[in-house]
Amino acid sequence: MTALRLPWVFLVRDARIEASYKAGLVLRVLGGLFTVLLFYFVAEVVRRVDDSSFQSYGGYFGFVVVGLAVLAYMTLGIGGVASGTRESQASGVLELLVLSPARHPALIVSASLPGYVFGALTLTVFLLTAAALGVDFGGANVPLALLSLVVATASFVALGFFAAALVFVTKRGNPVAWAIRTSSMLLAGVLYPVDVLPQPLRWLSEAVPLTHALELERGALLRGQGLAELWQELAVLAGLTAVLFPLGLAACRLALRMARTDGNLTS
Amino acid sequence: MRPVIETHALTKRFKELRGYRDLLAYPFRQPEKLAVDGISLSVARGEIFGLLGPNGAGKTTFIRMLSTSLVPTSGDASVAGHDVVRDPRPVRGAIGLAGGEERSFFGRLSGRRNLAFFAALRGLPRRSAERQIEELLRRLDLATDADRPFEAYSSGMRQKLAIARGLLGEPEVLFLDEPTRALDPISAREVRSVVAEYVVSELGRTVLLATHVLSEAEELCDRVALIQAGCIVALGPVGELRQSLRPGIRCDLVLRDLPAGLETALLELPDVLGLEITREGDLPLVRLTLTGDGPPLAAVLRETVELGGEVFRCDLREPSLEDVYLERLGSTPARLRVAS
Repeated sequence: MTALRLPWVFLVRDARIEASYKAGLVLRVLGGLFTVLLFYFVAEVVRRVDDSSFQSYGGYFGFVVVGLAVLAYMTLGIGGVASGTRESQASGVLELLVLSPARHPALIVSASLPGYVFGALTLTVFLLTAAALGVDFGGANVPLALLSLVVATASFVALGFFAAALVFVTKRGNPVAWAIRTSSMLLAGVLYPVDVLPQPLRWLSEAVPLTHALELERGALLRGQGLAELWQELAVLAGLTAVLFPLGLAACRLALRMARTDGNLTS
Repeated sequence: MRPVIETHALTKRFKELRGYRDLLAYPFRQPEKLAVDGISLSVARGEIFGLLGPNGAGKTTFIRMLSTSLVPTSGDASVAGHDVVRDPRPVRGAIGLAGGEERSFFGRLSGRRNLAFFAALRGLPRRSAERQIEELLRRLDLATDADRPFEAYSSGMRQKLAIARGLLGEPEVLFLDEPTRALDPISAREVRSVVAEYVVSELGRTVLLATHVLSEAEELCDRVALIQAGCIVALGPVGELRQSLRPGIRCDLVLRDLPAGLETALLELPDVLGLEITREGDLPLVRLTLTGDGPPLAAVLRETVELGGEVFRCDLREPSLEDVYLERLGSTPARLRVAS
């Protein structure tokens, strides 16, 4: 099998399933629009009080909308792996996936890919809506924003390995996705800059890939910064990915071995 | 010729779930449950081998160890010449699995697209996959419904699609785990004929069939292993197992009501070798093993009538696999059923 066939068949499968839920697709797009609108009005309040600390981002709305867009992208990717693994476990599909002759890491990466494709569509909806509401992306460094998103995706896939490993053992999907989403919202600076956090939490936030992904995306999209200004953030994100990826894979292998020993592949 | 499936003392113990109280009181004690207890057997190429036993006997656990989705606690097993623990990938390429689990498909996708997805997982090139899928759909009589969503399929169609999926990639061995569990008698018969006429006679595959349906095993299998509590209690060709029974004829008496004291009275008759009372629908069914026909049967009928019993039906019959089961396992487990 060619290297791309496996991710492709997962993508086609999930795209067909998603497309078959027409109302769900519309609701998802509407949900994205409403979130952006909600924070548009919150940003208006912040502007009236004082949003001078967000001026370099073109105001609080620009700051928060990029944060929400990247958070939604990450959540759909990692949450998709967690809930997909759990659904497969409950339906018996997971056992069939594990029994296929394909290599397990390739299977997990392929299974997580559709979440990021749908996440990218959601991210685009967020940014287009924000642009329509006045956020200025005119000076955006799009190539760097895309490069940063690719590196960030690799780190999110690595976190997805941990999520899948936890689901194998705990047999619960939603709490894992919820924990990743909530801790990222708390630590990564989605709704506020990380410098408002107490020092211990700021140290912790440095270890969260989303923190660096947001710095990169905001820098590239809202400030028009280039590699000269952002290379350190990119290097830190790449370094985190290089550490998390093998650890995540090892965790997944261990959890799979435990599931095959305890009989938890189906339940 | 080397067997396609071979196991030696294959054993599986599961850790048991504990409540919070036990966990706090004895944090380091981990109770275990023995699911498969040292099973040794071999299956020849092209054979249909039956694992027969009540629910919870260990049939599914045994199959899951052979299919590499479960790691054995001890013992050895090989499938298609590959060790299931040390060399699982070639084992996975050599097997197909079809369970009685109807949910293991994607409901919103058509039968054809489901098969295409699983064919890609097996690494089949697209053209070859399309050819195989078309052939399987045609042979399993699913071609006209192939493009309908799976969620619109009947239970029988779902089961046939599961068998089609198990045959993708032309595996040497097909594991069938209770393939007719949720089916009505007509669908069950269809699935059995697919297994016998297509999978085995035509394709020549080796089949390991786990079932608790006695007549299914009797109809399909060359050899069966009777399993109870994870152990094999009898193994051999169905005919040989029947011959191994105590001599005597089998007689089923269906009564309108069960007279008080009938069981004791019949067991006191010298020619009654064995007796079991069960039900056929709403009516009591007395299953007897007698020393021979003629006088012993007359004595049984006379005793029944004298105690006020009204005989609704009396059948003399050859020993069946069910009789083997009853004799080896002691009684008819309520969980065991005879297919219509």
